[in-house]
Amino acid sequence: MPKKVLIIDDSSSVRRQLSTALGKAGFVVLEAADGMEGAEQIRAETDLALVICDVNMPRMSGLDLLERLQPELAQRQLPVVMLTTEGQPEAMTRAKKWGAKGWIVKPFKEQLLLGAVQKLTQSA
Amino acid sequence: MSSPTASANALRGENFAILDELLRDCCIELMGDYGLPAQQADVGPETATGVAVAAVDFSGRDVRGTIGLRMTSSVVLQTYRAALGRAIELDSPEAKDWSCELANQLIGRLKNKLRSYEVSFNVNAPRWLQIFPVAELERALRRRFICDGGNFSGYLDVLIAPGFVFVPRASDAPLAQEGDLVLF
Repeated sequence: MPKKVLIIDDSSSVRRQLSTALGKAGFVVLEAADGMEGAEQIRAETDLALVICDVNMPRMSGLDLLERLQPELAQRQLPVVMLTTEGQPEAMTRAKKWGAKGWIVKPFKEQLLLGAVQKLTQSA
Repeated sequence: MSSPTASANALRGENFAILDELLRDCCIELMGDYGLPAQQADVGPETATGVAVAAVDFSGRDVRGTIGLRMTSSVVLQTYRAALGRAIELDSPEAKDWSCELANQLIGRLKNKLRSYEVSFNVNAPRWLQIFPVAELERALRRRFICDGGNFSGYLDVLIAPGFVFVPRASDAPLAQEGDLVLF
């Protein structure tokens, strides 16, 4: 059964770019346009295998989403990978503290991303 | 002995020279990552038609301002095709979103480079500009480039806190670079 990945990013271009790459690799892809919408989808979709989440977004940032949903994400063992334009160690440390499993700086390399997604969804 | 005003002006000039170089590097690297090598061109008058313009505001303790990208249609279309492997219409919402994403990635690059000067700031959501901001451009740092089939400009309208000096400092924490993937 194909694994389900949720993409949270306020850029429709980035969502489409990720969706195309993951779709070709056999994943079912869901999309959310900001952290608030993403949090709702995480709660509603109980069979997600992975979340790829932007950091700077309107309404709720990716780091805020991580912090708020940390207990639920941990309990479900749902891996979250942050995808952002920034590589600030402070932000990366916060993401790690709140349970993120990875950090990707845009523009992403498709093969690298797919490799990480495959690895993180193996146990899902 | 130089006057305080002359010293302040010299300091201001050095700060802006550093930002100007960083802006140049960020622009070249951004487009290079989408397969669009660019060469610097003379800064001449910009046309307001047939272009896409997107900007991002930022603010921090030491700096605040706006960074922007002005691109001819071919730049938007070629970079989109490189990233997504398909074509779009310049007037489409997708092209506007992509222009904003490029501006977003430009400010991300600048923020990453400014870390070595211990400068940080918060970044707002990128915005697509319907009208070319000529007035903003006149007071901004601007770098213009030509590339295959078109041209683009990066501009940086920035206010620096009085007395602040850009001094490179050794950073002890590793910084993820564009294209990097770090698994925790």
